[in-house]
Amino acid sequence: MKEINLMAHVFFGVTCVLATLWVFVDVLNAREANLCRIRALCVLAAAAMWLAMILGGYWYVADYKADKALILQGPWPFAHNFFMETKEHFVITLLLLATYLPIVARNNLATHSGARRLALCVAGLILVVGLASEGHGAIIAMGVKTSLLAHAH
Amino acid sequence: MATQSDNVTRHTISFGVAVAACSLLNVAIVIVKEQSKAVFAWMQAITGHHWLTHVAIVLLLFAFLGWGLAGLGNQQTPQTLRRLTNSLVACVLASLVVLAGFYLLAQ
Repeated sequence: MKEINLMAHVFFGVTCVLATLWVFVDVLNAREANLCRIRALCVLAAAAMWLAMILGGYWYVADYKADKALILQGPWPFAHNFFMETKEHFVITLLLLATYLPIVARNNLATHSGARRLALCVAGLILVVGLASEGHGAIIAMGVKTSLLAHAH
Repeated sequence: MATQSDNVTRHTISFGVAVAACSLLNVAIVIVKEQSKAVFAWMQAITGHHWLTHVAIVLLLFAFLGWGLAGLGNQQTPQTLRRLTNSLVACVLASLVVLAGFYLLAQ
């Protein structure tokens, strides 16, 4: 169950990033015809981010202790000391940005250049922070793996 | 196509300010709780985990600022949205740099 929860966390995180990428490209070409799609994708990105946060948060609070102990005993303690510590906090900002994206998309992005620029900036930030989160997660998982391998040999 | 047709919704402005402010508050809470064992213990005691309390504080302030500022009205000048966009990007990027720097120095 713990593993399924963790994989679902990653799945929804990736879904948020992909939906936001689609939003970014669509906003670059915003017109009346694609405004509905942009708004729907923004809601999808926000919903996926909330699900990723809830699942990841549950895992962090309930199940991470054992992984943390392993990481700190292994050759990659920075996987917790830097990567997990930063990730667990910058995802809060990521959640705020993803929640804000559908609010920005309620404006007419086809005719309002300022709103379009804001939507592009918010989507761009979500992409950068979202990809950083995925990378951090991979390094944290690698921290556990290197520790287990070190103890196995 | 690239014209400024009308004002943006008041929630665009208020929640934009909320994102900028809460991203900075997020990092401020990190620094305070990591530096003060009393604050950390208090946050731990409130919900059972310091991170849950941290998330709750930031989300509550985000909602409070977003809806609260929206209730103040919608007085926009042509510069309002540009300033908001620049401030939001600056605050988010600054918060990420400070967060990374803080944990790099703490290593």
